[in-house]
Amino acid sequence: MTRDRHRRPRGRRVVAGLAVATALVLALDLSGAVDTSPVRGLAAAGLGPLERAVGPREDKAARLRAENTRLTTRLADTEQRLAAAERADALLDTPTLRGLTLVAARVVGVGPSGPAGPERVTLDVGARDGVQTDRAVVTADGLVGRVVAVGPWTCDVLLLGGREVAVGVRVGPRGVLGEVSAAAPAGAPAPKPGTLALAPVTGGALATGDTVTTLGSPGDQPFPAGLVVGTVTAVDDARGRPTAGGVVTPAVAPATLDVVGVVLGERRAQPRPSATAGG
Amino acid sequence: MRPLGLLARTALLVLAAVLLAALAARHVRPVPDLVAVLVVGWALWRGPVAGALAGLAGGWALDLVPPGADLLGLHALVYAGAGLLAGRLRVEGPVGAARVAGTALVVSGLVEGADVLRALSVRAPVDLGEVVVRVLLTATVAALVVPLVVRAERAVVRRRFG
Repeated sequence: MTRDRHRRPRGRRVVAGLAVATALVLALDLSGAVDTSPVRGLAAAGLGPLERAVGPREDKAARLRAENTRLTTRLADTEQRLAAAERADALLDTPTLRGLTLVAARVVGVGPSGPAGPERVTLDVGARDGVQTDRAVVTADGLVGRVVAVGPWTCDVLLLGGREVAVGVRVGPRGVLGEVSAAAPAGAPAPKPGTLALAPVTGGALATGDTVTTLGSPGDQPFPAGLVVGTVTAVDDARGRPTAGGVVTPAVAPATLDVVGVVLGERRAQPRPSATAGG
Repeated sequence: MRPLGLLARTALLVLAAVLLAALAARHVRPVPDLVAVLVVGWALWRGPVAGALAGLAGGWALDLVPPGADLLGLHALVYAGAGLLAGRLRVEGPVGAARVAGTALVVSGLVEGADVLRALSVRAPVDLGEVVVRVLLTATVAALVVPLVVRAERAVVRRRFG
């Protein structure tokens, strides 16, 4: 008993010291000031073999599971490649894109989201593939955005709905001229996330359900004519403003972008032939 | 306690932690917390200081046995605190199964509660049903295993002192 009494304070001190040391290690690990991976590495080197010895052995079921996993991943990979090829084919078969020179590309990076979703994406084609800035990016459904920066193997695209993208458009069968952008014209309510504001150049004549297509730019840069931008989903009243605006739902949802095409078309070098009317 | 005895008890704690990892690798769920069972055994046999030391060693074993915990030392501190508390519940003389189970409930509840709090603090999902089953299972296993631990300790004492 006397021995016990002698020993007890020392034991208590040792335990308290160890606990303080542990708390110190925990605090260092929590703060990230010290890299604790060597400690884990030592533990793995010392205890790993023991764990392997008592761990589950490789048996027939495990081999079959591994085989299954390998085949499943291979199947998924093949399916994905097939789907990408189909999407690329669909892109090239789109009537509105007929005659345009396209280079197929994949979205490999998406920038930080703006207030209404992502505004920039990165494609896996660049200057080596003939891509230049101010080129239109399209899918089979319609216009995606325009190229704003080009690297040797990648390019950055500003999506429709980005703050600095404005597209001249024609609306509906009558071809009313207007402008589509993310920012609402002065006095009109701001468009909801995922939609664009449509400001017609002249008054009226917008109807819900009208298709919105691009007006076209000189030399097809950045936007060739006739690409689908979206559909008019609402027309607001013109109270207090010279023209009634509208809301356009884009044909392409930025969240589902995968295979896209970058329009490469050359600037026209030949004069357009003239023709005699009524002849 | 001699260094050799200390080493043997530490090895037993490490073995318990490795066993837990191996059982989890075989998809055995829920598994009783064998480390907590050992900590309860030594805390009830030798008192708070030994309980805290056993908890510290067992918690470090749980933190370090691969794949390890994401925070080194947290289990060690929680188990040490639980071991200290369990040692306070020691009584002189023979210990009944009910007291052992109750102590194991307290220890297991404390360490599981700390894990649940940590999970909640990072908004991770918590399966409270499984936690409760594990605590009850630990208490049951402790009531069965702790007498064996105490008997082994008693045998060691008897062999040393006659």
